[in-house]
Amino acid sequence: MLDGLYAAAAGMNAQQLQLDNVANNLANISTTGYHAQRTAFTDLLYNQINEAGTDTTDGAGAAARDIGDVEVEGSLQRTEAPLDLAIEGQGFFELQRANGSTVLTRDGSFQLDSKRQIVSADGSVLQPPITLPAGVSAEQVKIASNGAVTAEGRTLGTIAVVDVPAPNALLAAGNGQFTVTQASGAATPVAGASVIQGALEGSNVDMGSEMATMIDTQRSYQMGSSAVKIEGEMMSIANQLRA
Amino acid sequence: MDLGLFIAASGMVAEQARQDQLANDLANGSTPGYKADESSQHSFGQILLSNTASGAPVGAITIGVESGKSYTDLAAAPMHETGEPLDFAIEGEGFFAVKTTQGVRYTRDGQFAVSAGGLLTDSFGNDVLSPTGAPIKVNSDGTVDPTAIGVSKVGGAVKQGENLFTGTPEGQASATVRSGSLEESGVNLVETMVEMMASLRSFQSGQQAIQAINETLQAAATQVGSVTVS
Repeated sequence: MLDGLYAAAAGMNAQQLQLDNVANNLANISTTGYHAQRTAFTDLLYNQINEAGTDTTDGAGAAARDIGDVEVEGSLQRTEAPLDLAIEGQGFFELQRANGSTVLTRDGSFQLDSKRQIVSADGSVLQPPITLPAGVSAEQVKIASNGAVTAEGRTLGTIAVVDVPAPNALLAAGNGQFTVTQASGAATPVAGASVIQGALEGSNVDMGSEMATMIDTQRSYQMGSSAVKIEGEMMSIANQLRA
Repeated sequence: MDLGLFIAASGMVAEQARQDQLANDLANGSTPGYKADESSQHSFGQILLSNTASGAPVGAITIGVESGKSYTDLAAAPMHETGEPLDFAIEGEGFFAVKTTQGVRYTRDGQFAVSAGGLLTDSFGNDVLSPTGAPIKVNSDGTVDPTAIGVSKVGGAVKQGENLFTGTPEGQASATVRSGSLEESGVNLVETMVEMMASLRSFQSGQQAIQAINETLQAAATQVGSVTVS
């Protein structure tokens, strides 16, 4: 009888994880380049019960896991800021953090640092590093769709757009940045990616579907709690058996 | 001892097993491609009662109930659109085949991903197999042609956890694979909840029956032969 109690509790735990995920997605509904996270449910091990010649199986409930992002691209928002960039299609910008580690991001809200280098909002340097010569203002920078950066007719460098074979296996590193893992494969340049100047990729969180998932999750959680209650009541009935 | 006690207890044991199954079904209400379990209950054999004095038969009595073999309801569940390029659902009967470390296993959960090597895998990293049993390459734009994915007919499918089934392959099924959709869980939450309540009350009836028989036995043990002067 306790099996059912734990199965129901495991199901509640799984729903709890999904609710956490929904909350995180909703919180990031305005985060540039954010991609909604998905939760996957699986069943758990099964027990074969062979009491008194019966042949009943009972399962141990359910589990939930994060399985990466929703692949749909967020809608582009025009900002007209010269260093706001969006990637159309798959791929990431490559950044080097202050500690030397390389991270990937789709958040293309860049700016100039004190050394006139193009950096992300948290100060990580866009790769390969591009420095604006003295006297050239950000407004004069033109970025072509292949990533080529020019100002006043001078070529300053080319912004790389990279991608990994399995983007869902990237490790989130905060600030909309990701690190490459063994499961994701190495980052390689993308052929034919298009960079758009003066626009940012909005969050791809779909408010409607997240709300629907939230309601569904809450109801499932409630049912799980009813199941726990019923299993509890069964135990109390069994406990009232006495001579 | 009184046979009724054991009959009632066997009913309670069977309801317990049912309740555990229902709790598991309910926990998997959001698991894609999950199939609900059913179990039958049937009576033990009957015995014939006879009059101890004359030997004349009185009639038959069943000596309780037991849970029978459980079976999984493999009927296809509704699909829902997710728009994800690597979500697949099978329209009709059959299973996706995946290559695990223990051999080929089958699943109706089409929530697939791409591996670092560019192959289509399930969410645990097992390779998804084509109709010929080979791994499937994901196109550079992150999509897979649904017809490249094999759908196997499986005999005697038994659940083993992690959304996988074991069974004997019986060739390819003539089902269509749809991309951008997932098959929902086969659990009907409302029905399951109602069954849980019904099962709970049956369990309680069993307890009441035991209680009642116990009281009769108590009366037999303490009152028969006692002399009271009124």
